[in-house]
Amino acid sequence: MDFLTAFLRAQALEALLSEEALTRVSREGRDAPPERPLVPALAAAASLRGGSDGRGDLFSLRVGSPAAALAFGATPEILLRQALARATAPAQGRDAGGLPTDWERGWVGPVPLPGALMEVMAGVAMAVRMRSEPRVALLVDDTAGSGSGDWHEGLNLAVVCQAPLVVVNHDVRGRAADAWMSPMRDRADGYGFRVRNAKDSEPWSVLARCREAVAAARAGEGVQVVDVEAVPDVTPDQLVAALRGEGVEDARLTALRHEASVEMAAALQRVVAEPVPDPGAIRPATSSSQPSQAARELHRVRTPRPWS
Amino acid sequence: MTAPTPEHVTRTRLGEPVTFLEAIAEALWEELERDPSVFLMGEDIGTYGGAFKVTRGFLDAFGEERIIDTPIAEGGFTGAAAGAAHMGLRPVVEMQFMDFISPAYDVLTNYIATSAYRGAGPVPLVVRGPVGGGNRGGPFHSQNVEMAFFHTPGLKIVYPSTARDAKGLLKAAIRDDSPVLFEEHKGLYRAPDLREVLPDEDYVVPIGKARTAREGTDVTVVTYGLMVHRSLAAAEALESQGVSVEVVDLRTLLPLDEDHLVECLQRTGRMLVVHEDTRTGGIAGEIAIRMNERAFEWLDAPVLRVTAVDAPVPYAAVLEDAFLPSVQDIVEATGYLARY
Repeated sequence: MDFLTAFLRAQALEALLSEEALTRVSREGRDAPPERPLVPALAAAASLRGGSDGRGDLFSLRVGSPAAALAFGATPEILLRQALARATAPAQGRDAGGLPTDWERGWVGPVPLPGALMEVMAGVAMAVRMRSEPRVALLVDDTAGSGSGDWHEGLNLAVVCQAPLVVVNHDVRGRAADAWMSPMRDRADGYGFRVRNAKDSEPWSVLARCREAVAAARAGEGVQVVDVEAVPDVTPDQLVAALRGEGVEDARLTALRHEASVEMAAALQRVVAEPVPDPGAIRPATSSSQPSQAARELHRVRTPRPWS
Repeated sequence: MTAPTPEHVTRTRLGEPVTFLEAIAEALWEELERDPSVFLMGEDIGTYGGAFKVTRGFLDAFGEERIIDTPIAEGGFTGAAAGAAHMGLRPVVEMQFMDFISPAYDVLTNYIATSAYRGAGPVPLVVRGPVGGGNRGGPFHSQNVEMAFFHTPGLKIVYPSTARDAKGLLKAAIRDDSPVLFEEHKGLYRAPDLREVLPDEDYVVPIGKARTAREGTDVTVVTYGLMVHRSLAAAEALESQGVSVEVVDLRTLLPLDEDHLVECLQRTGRMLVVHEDTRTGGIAGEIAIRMNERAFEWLDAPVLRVTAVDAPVPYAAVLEDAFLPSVQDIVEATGYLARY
C-alpha cells in the first residue's frame, strides 16, 4: 500500500474515532481530542516490518494516531472495537488503549504514562538484543513525556544497553507543558543516541528519516531518535498535496478518498452492532484473593446481611 | 558453564544446612540453570555480587546478558523488566533495599499490575529484595513495603520466614505468570538458627498457602517474616504459663489465605495479628475485618494486633528497639487474649 493511500485510510478512520468514540462511550461533555500527529505516527508504522508472523518489529504509540496502526497491520474493526469498548475488543472494554496489545503482531498497547511506556519499550528492545533477533522496537512519543524521570530512565537504560529502540518524537514544544523541553538534538550527545530531524509538514522526509533510523537500529547501532518538528497551521489538504506529488491525478485521488471512507464507514457499522461488555464480565486481576466456594457459603450462612 | 560454582549455592548439593540467604541464592542459581529465559537485573548485582552478596559469582557463571548491572534507576529497570517479560523472558529484579522500590511504584501499580487485566498480556516478573528493621539501618534501609502494594489488584506479595520456604517460594514466584513482590527480611539472611538442610530436589512452595508453624488451642497468632520467630518464642514462653498458642505463618500476603485463618479461628476463638510493618493501614486491619465478616460468631475476644509504631524506622538502637514489636509485646497481648 502506498503512503498516500495509507494516509487517506488513517485520516478517514481518525475522523470516525474522533466523532464516534466520544459519543458512543459515554464521554459526552468532554472536549474532542486535539488534532493528532498523524504524520510521524504513520511514517513510523510504515517504516517497520509487519509483525503478523510473530517475528516482525514491535510498535507502540504513546501519543499519535491509533489509526496510523493501520499501516502496521491493524484493521479498522479492531481499532474501533477498542475505542467503542465492545465486548469483542481485545481489552473487552477494560481499557481504551487505542492500539490493542498483540505480541504476535508486534503491537504494544499504549498507556497514558509517558515514562512507563518508554521503560517498557526499552525492555522490549533489550529482550530483542538479548536474543540477537533482527527486530526493532519503535515508540511514537512527544516532547511532553520527556520531562518525566521515568522517560529519562527508560531511554538511558536503552542507550546503555545498546538496545534496538527507535523513538519517533513529535516535537510539539509550542504547547504549554512542552515549552520547557529541550530539542532532541541538544540532548543527543548527553544520552548517546543518534538523532535525525524532519518536519511534519514534509511527510516524505519524515518517512525517509524513520526508515533510516529503523535500518540503523536493526544494524546494531543502538538507540535512534527521529525528531519531527510540528509545523503550525499545516492543513490536511497540504499534507495530501505533499504526498500526492505529481503522480496522482484528481480522479484517482477522489477515488482513493471515497474507498477509504466507505471502508471505514462499513467497519464502523459492523462494530457498532457488536455487543458491549456484560457487567458480569468484570473479573478480578490475576491475583485477587477470592474466597473459595465453601468460604462463600460460610459467609452467606454465618454473616447476616441486614442491608440486603 | 566454565566459571566455578560459588560456594554459597552448593550447600544443598553437598547435604549441608543453608542459611536463609543461601536458600535464596540457590533458588536463583537453579532457576537460571533450569530456564534460559530467566535473567537477573539490579544495582550492583553483577561485578559486586549484590549489596548482601546474594549473587556473588553469578556474573562469571551466567554472563552479563543474564546478570545485568543497572543504573540507579528503579523505575527504569523495573519498567524495562516488564517489557522483557512481555517478550517471553522471566526477569528477576533486585531492589538493593526494598525501601528503594518507591520510584518504581508508578510502573508497578499502573502498568505491570494492570497489564493482564487490560488485555496487554501477563508480566511474569519478580521484584525481590531485603526489608525490615533491627539492623540500625535507619529510615531508608529498614522499611517493610508490603502494604504500599497490598491494595493493588494484579500483584502477588510473598514474604517467607524460613530457608525452606524462601527457596521454594522464590522458585514458585519465578515460574508464576503474575508479577510477584518477594520480601526478604535482612534479620533472617544469616541467622544461624535458621540454617536447615533442604531437599536436594527441585521443589516449590505454592504461593497463596499459609502454614501452621506451631499447633495450639487457646490463641491463634497470625504473622509473617521475622515476626514468625518472635511469635514462636512468645508461644514457647506462654506454654510454661499454661497457654497453648497456635502460630500461623502467612508466607503469602497477597493473595491472602483467608480460609486457613478462618479454620484456625474456628478452633481457638481468639486471634492476634503480629507484623513488623507499622500499625495504620497494616495487614492486621484487613485480617481483622475479614474475620469479622466471616467468623464473627466464633470470636471469643476481639482480634487484636501487635505492630510497629506509626513512625519512620528510627536509627538509634534504643529507639528502634522500642519501635519494633518484641517477644514481650507478643507475650502480653496473647496472654491478655487468653484471659479475655
